[in-house]
Amino acid sequence: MIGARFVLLTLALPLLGSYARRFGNVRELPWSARLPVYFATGLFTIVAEMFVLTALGVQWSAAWLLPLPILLSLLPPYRRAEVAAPQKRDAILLIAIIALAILVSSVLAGALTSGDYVIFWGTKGQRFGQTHTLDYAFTLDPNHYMHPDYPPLVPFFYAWTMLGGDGAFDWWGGILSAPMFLGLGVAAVWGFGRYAGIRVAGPMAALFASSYALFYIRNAVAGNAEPALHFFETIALCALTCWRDRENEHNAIAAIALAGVTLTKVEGGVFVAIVLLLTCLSRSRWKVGILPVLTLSSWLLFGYVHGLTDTYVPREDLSIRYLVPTAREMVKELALRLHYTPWIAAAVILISGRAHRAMPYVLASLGFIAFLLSVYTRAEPHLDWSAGRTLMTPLLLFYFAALAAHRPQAQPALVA
Amino acid sequence: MRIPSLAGWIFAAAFTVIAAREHLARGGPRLARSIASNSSNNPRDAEATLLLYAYASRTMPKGATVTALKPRSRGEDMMVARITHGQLPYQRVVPQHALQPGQTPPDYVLTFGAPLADPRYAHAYETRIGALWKRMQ
Repeated sequence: MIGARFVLLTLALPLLGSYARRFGNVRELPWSARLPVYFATGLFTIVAEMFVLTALGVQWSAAWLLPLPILLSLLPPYRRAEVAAPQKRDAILLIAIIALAILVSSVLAGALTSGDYVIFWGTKGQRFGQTHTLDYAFTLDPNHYMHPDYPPLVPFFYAWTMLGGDGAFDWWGGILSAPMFLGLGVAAVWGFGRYAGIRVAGPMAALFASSYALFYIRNAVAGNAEPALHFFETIALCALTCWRDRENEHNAIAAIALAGVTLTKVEGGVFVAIVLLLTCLSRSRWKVGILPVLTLSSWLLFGYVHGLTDTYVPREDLSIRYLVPTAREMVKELALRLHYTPWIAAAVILISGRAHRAMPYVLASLGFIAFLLSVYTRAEPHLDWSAGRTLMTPLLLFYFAALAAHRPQAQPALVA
Repeated sequence: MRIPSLAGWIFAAAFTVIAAREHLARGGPRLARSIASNSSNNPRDAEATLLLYAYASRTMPKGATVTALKPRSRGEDMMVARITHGQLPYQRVVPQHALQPGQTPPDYVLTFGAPLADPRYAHAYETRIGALWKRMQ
């Protein structure tokens, strides 16, 4: 079962990321939003340090990784902020809690463990944790080739949890991080939504928790990168959507979370490009793009220098002549084996709000589906293998379309 | 109750019920013996495989060289090697071709699905899914 080292080093991440309280209005967020923000910031900071040290050819250690986030976290905030008002309990969150409990129970039953986790996500994490670096010579080895081109955030997270240990990875901890990431994402939706005065924050948090718990069970993603990807995507979208005083008040959080997205999965780069294009081109938001673009460029440059670019090169059998049959299959997969009900649920909530505010998110969702279509358009697309996992990102964008449609017009008070 | 809240309640409750049903269909709540005891298309074999790896990891000396293979399915060498690297953190995993003549043979071999036909190795431990072999010379 899960070990103390994994738990303690995971719990250390929000402490190491607590310097995020210095950014914008973060201190005014309720705890349910602040905790996920601190966790995302802590995880990204540690992973970024690991990546920089790897690029410099230096093996990481606690002495290298800890000083910077500790120093940043000990500095006082720029200004005093209002203390977030205590939040009223929301009965619908009981559904979210039950859904998350079902997910935890499934993980503990050993029912959600992905083959990819055993084959490469966990194994890479263990190797990086043993060698204290991104050991691309190991992942490139033709005897056990392990997708060396996949971004390193999740294996780095696993390696972090091995710091100071005996060189063995906590495999139970890795799979239990799936409900942890989802739980933090759900808390962020609720906390950010309430902060921004969005009255559907509770229903959207419950919808998010219940549907994604179900998807995680069906697609057996425990230990894979999807839960971490959805977590960072959620934090970024919360930061961009749920503002109260001005639209750029959570720019720094959005930038950190989008940078995390780029280091989590290959398609994260496309997500970031689409989100930046549709929501961050305004005068007040263009700076959001700097950190994620820099992070992605650094990873691609590192990959190019070390020959880790396989996945970023379009496949040879992509062809326009497969577009129609693939599109037909895609329409079927969009039902998510739930008769399209996740989309319908969000659409019902969306149209009861100010639908025009949801447009950038709807377009982003469609844009991501178009990207997936372009990737799958080949002779044997096999959408049934992976579309259940990849379509969770455009659905998340659509959920945020519903949330955005209910953002109040002017500065509201916290929902009582 | 307003329409968005009602929609949230109904759909969230429905998805939670479906999640619970699917969880129960896969055996329901329990503490598994391994991380994959109820995963994959063949959970029984997956569990037995991981438990054999766990036994081997505990009993082989730290730093010992080891390789793993399916004698009747050598096309899966790469896949087996990937899993072996993850499941044997304290030993030094070497490629399966180390068993070929002229190479330095590993201290141990794990086999799955069939015994090892190599006179240099003696049988050390066996389960339903496979066996651990120790080099004798």
